[in-house]
Amino acid sequence: MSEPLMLFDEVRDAIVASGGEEIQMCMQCGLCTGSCPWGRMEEKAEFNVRAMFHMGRLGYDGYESDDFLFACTTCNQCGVKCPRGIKIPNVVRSMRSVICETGGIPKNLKAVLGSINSQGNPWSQEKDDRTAWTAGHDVPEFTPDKEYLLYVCCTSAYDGRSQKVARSIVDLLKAAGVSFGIIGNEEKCCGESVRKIGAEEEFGNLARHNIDLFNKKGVKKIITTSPHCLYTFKNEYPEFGAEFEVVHYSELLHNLVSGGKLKFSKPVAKKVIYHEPCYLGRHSRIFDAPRELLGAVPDLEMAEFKGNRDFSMCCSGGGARIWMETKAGQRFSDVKVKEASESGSQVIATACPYCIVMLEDSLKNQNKDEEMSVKDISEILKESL
Amino acid sequence: MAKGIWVYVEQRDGKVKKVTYELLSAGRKAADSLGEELCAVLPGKGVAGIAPGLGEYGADKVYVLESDALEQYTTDGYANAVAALAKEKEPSAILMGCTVTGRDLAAQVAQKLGTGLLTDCTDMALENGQLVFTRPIYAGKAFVKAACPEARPVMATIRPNVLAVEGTQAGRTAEVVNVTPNAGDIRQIIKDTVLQVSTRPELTEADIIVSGGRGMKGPENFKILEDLADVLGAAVGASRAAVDAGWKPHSFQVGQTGKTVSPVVYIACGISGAIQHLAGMSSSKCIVAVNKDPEANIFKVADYGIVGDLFEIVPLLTEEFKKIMAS
Repeated sequence: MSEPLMLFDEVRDAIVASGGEEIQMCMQCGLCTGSCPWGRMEEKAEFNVRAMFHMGRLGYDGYESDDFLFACTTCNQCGVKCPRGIKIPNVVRSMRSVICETGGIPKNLKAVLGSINSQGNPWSQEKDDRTAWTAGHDVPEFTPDKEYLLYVCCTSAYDGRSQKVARSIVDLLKAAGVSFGIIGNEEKCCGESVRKIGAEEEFGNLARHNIDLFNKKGVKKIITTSPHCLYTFKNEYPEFGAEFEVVHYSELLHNLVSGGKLKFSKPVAKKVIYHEPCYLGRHSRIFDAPRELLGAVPDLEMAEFKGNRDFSMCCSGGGARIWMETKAGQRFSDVKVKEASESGSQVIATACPYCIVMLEDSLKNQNKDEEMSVKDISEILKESL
Repeated sequence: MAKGIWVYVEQRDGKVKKVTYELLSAGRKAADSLGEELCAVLPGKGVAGIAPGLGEYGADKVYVLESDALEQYTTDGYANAVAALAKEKEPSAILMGCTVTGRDLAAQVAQKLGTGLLTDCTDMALENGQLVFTRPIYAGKAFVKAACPEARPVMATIRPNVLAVEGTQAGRTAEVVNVTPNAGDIRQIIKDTVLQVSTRPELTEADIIVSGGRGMKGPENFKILEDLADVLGAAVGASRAAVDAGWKPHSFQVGQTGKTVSPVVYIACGISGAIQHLAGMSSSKCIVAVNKDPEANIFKVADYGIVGDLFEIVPLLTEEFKKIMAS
């Protein structure tokens, strides 16, 4: 099939107007593509970061396709390498927002935005069931005298598997005597991945709603269960006037352990390999807290992936990819599960609900779910209380 | 001097695609304004019978390119035949439908004729004696109007369903011109044509869906779901885990990364109920879950839950429904 090539310079202007001015700084060296996990997959993928920048700048018809622009997981592996210091995930976001305005986003993502608009969560679940995860569990409500708001990610609020993570975090905070509470059904999705779809309008609505709600309730400090919520509350909400102090639960627990307020005594005699969530590590620079927490568990043997910290491979669930299909042979999480299995680990520990979803799927499709499990670090810590 | 507006007639098994009529209608108007003739180009085998009737839609002349070599569409055969004829007759414009075939053929013909091609157009108009085409760019955010001022023929592919079929004249016939086509070397060989045939309803349109997950244990076991589906007139679906295992193609996948469904009844068999699956089916009116694990998430959204071995339960359901449907 042959098709002619069409160029449109106006497209660059539209990308720049959507906040992607850094697209003009790219010198096409290709270090981004060389470091991108898509290039390391068994099956060759079409996606190429450098080419996408080139196409976007010249306005080739085609850069905006599902397999190209919407393939990026915004893991920021390229961003930490870029010699010009371009914030590549942000340029991807702005390129997507140009397309999103036209309604030209991938079909599966339209359902996500529909659910965000009607239910305030991306999973097409009832907004009134947001606190269903607390059933039979004593979870304090947030009141102005509480120090922290515990903001539970939509995935941990609705996914039966991930609800266990929310409950573990609650138990740990209680054990350490932290003053906290939840708001619950009035909350909406933080919008991190919604913004990565390019849906600026929906993101703005979510951010304004949550900021108003938190202010009204008297929130000053927030604990997040997910690194994605952490990232957007910390880096993007201030654009809308937010002034909250935000921590990921792993940072807070780490401080509590250092301060002697939390101790792990029960041994967990397992070999545990730590999978770095991109939005906790590369994006938020929190590398040590989760490792030191796992290190504080008696008898736990730690293992590391060959690529870790700044060079850790993404699970392929970021940048709204969690809601899109990835062909077998191109799933980053499959590669991670294989490596974890070869390391002889029994548990893959991580600290992000998206990573858990992606890695558990891979455990199943690699038929490793009998020999290994995926756990949030909070679940391991709770076991050790 | 190039003369004549041509429309490529797309047909399969002697049945003309609607887009051809749309192009003829639009081509008729342009031909009248320009004072040129409108010709249809009809390659194929055993298609001569279609030719005269194209007059009703506006064709003045139909070039019939009958050949054994053109029985089925091949890029080389059709492109060679159409390009050779165009070189001989020198039309001023060639229009094709923006279909899988039209896109393929148009690009090849344009290349052989050394002319330009405007693809994926949504409108055609005459401005100062030039054919001007509208085409959307960037997923419809903007439109460009483009013309081909010098090279002839002007070539374009136009999307189906954007132009109206109008001004048909019953009984008007076209002059039929039989041409011995020059199909040239054909490098593509059609070995087999596979049509996907399913008697079950489309997943997204079905009132009842019977879906299987990893608990089905293997592709052969979907038979019991198909039996139940056939009794109920239902569609068969699968979870991502079952699709990943290669038991069903991706077109069967229900969930966030597959199809979103909201049938009246959704019967989930051996599906644990991961959030991606729930996102694609929890708006079903009534959810019935069969799973041996009483802790399975699917029971949290199910209206009716059956804890037990699906290999025992599903055949029982099939039997019972058979009795109910028969009575």
